[in-house]
Amino acid sequence: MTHLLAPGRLVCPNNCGAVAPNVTNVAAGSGSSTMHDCPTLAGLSVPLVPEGTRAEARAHEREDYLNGELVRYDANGRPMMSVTVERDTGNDCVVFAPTATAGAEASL
Amino acid sequence: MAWSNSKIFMAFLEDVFENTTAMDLNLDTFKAALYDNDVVPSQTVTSANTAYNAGQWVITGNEVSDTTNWNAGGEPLTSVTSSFASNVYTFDAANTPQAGASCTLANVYGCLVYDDSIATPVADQGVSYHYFGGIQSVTAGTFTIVWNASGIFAITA
Repeated sequence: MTHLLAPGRLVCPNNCGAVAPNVTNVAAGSGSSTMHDCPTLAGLSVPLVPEGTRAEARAHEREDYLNGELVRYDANGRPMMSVTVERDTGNDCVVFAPTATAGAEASL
Repeated sequence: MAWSNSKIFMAFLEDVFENTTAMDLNLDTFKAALYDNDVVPSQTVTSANTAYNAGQWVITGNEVSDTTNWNAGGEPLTSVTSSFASNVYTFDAANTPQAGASCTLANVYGCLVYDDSIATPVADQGVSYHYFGGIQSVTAGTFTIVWNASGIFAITA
């Protein structure tokens, strides 16, 4: 009987339990663009890493004034700028781009 | 002053309303190009100065790219949507990742969203720009722009 190897998995760098199939065959130790909403970072989008990769995800608050920007907030109500994943061979970055808005204000 | 906010270009709105440009938001190809903090964005510049590789959005000295996986000229927006609900029009897209397996980028502060399909009267005319809120970098890794749940840009009537 021939046993098929199970496909590799992508997992949360902070070990929240999230998993996904490694359908694009991301190499061990590398980063991926497959995301999950991570409870360890207050629900922010965090990229998964191949199982067995030493990695840690960190969230970064916006470093500038909000100035009316429509930004991403985490579950604690903090305005977030990005999430980075630090690995032995590099790092990954997810930036949360604000929405550009327009709308006329009513005059009294 | 460098990056401070995210805006829709006024020239884009006027040109679309007046049929000066034939930009089609649900058919054209749009791209997101990355820039450093040498850029001084302004939403009130002329149409020509909103374009990729024009005005503040020049390649030399301002654009940030990776020769293999975040190309000069930016990465294409995918799954673009153009719609309205109630009194809000929204232009949106899926997350925008780097092209290949990994990239190395430094000193990224924001991006320009522009129409890569339009050639006349202004080629690569800009639609909006977005300030990421601080310096970003990636080394031998993935770089992904996650657009806000409220869209790339939204207009409230």
